[in-house]
Amino acid sequence: MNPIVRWIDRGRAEPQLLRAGFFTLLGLIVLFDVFAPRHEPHFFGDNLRGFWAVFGFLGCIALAKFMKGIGHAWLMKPVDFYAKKDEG
Amino acid sequence: MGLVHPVLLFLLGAVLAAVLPVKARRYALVAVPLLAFLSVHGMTEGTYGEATWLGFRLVFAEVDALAIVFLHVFTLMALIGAVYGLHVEDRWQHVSGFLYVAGALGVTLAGDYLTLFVFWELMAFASAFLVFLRRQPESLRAGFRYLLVHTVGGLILLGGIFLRYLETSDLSFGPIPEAQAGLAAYLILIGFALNAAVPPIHAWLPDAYPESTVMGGVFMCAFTTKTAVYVLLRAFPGYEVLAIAGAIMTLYGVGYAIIENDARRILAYHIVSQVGYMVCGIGIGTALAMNGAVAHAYAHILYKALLFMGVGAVLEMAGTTKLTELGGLYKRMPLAMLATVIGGISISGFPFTSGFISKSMIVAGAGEAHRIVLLLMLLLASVGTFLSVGIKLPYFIWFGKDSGVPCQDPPKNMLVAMGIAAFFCFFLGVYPDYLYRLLPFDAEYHPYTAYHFAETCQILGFTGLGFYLLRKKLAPEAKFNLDVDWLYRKGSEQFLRLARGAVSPANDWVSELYRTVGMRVALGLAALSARFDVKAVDGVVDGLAYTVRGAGDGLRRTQTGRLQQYIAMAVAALFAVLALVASH
Repeated sequence: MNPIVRWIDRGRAEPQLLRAGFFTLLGLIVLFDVFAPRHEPHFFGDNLRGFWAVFGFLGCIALAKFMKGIGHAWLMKPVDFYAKKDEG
Repeated sequence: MGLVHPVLLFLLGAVLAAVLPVKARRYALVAVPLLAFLSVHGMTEGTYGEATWLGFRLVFAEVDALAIVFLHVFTLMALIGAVYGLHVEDRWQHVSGFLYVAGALGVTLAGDYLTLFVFWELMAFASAFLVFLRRQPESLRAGFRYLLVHTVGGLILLGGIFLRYLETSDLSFGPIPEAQAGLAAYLILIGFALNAAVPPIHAWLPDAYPESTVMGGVFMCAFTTKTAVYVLLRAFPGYEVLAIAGAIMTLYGVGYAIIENDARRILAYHIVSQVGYMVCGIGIGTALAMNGAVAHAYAHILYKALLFMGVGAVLEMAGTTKLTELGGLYKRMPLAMLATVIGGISISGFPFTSGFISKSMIVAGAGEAHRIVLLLMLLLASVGTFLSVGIKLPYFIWFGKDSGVPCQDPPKNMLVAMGIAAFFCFFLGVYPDYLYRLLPFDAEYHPYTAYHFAETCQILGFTGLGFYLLRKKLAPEAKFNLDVDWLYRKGSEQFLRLARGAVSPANDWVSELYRTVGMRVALGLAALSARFDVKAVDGVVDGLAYTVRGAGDGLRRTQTGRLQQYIAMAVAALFAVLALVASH
């Protein structure tokens, strides 16, 4: 079997381990930010520790909710939306 | 200049692709872009191929640092695309591909607006065939719409060029200061912006690219929008409208990508988004931001091609790119998976990939120029980028629930092409000086600082957390998303009325302009190009009417046959002009 497939299968067999690894990584990233030196901050967010973690998380939730919302309310149409009209 | 004008190489390549038998053709397909790539390395700055024709000064090769970096990546990309398409037996795809590249290189080297316009149109016509040649009813329709939109865009550009000539009696292609910009400049700007897919004149891109051939998509994702970035860089640096439009583009593209179901359409919307970064950088206009736009164009061409190649392999091997019909393919196509994942982390700007060292230059440019709102918009767009193409796309194609679609890794040549692109994604990320040395403007930038690293890892990591929590809600849906192409697709009748009502008078107006200013002869070349436009608009309108009425394949073929004549005429005209120049 392809080694790439073997590695992925091994990871998928232990989802708890993957999750624990992911959350540890997130913790380490924020810890790193606490100690990362700031050169020439451009605005207040650059000086707040963990600002970009909050920005990334809230931004992701907001984008997903907003686009799915506007999609369901308006943008999403049946796949043959134009085909019907084109042939009509 | 190098040994030979690269446009001539690709025109020759197109002829060879048309006449050679399969085996010899394969050698030519690799040799032509390889030679062109090498010849770009030998180029020296200067003005070459100057000619005076009917009182106009034509410049076929204006070589400077900005042109060289684009020629560099365009020829490299042509090589990758040609290798990717080596197994394709349909010779016309290769011919169209090379003519398309010739157009892009011609625009890059053009020193005057007339030369630029001729190659601009060649690009539009040749690329339309990369859509037509998919030979599906839907791709024919999408191809006609694509051609129509670009024809209108070409007319607007031509109108701007004429007006500019009337005002300044100068057609040399260079920066137009914002303070002096009048109607002429803004018409040219709109013509360029259409090719850069700036909303609301972007819908041709996500409409046509997903309907192109597998190989065609790989070519198209590289050239049209990036030549537009190049001409915007050259003519309109520092235009405030571009800074704002670019930042909106980045979010517009990722927004649609988040809810889109077709993998190639997701990637198409990501072109809008990524080109938005470049347009924004051009608009900010500082040396750092503009260098960022150039660097990002270079990096983007390679990782976006890698993504289009990986997803193209899925289309070729599994027969669909709808996320709702895919899932669990990693077991059967592990190498194609690797390619899209590498493309996905590069476009998201992971450390040690090309996106990390190019996108951040534009963001830093926004920061240094104290454009905090722009900076936050660009970074929010990179959240959406990682969400939609870094996680969602690979997750629902390769992982998730196994769809059971039978498939396997694609032919070797496709894997080699993906390998080359993947190599460059890491190479540029690890060794950014290779790219930075090529950049035309004077600005210093160091991507690998502790803070940039911390910022990027936080944004990516916590976007990942958001996806993890919302993964059920983010599942793709088998729907079609409305975009502004609704305006010209909502019904054939309204469309035809619109075409007769708005486009024809625009044509007449341009014709009238020739006559009233009494320069019919002097503007011979441009008039010839306009003739293509007039004919093409009519042709497309007729063609659409036929297809809409559900005419048989025979009629469609005659229609495309006529278009083949147009393109042949365009190429013939180009050859004639090149020959004229060569004899001087």
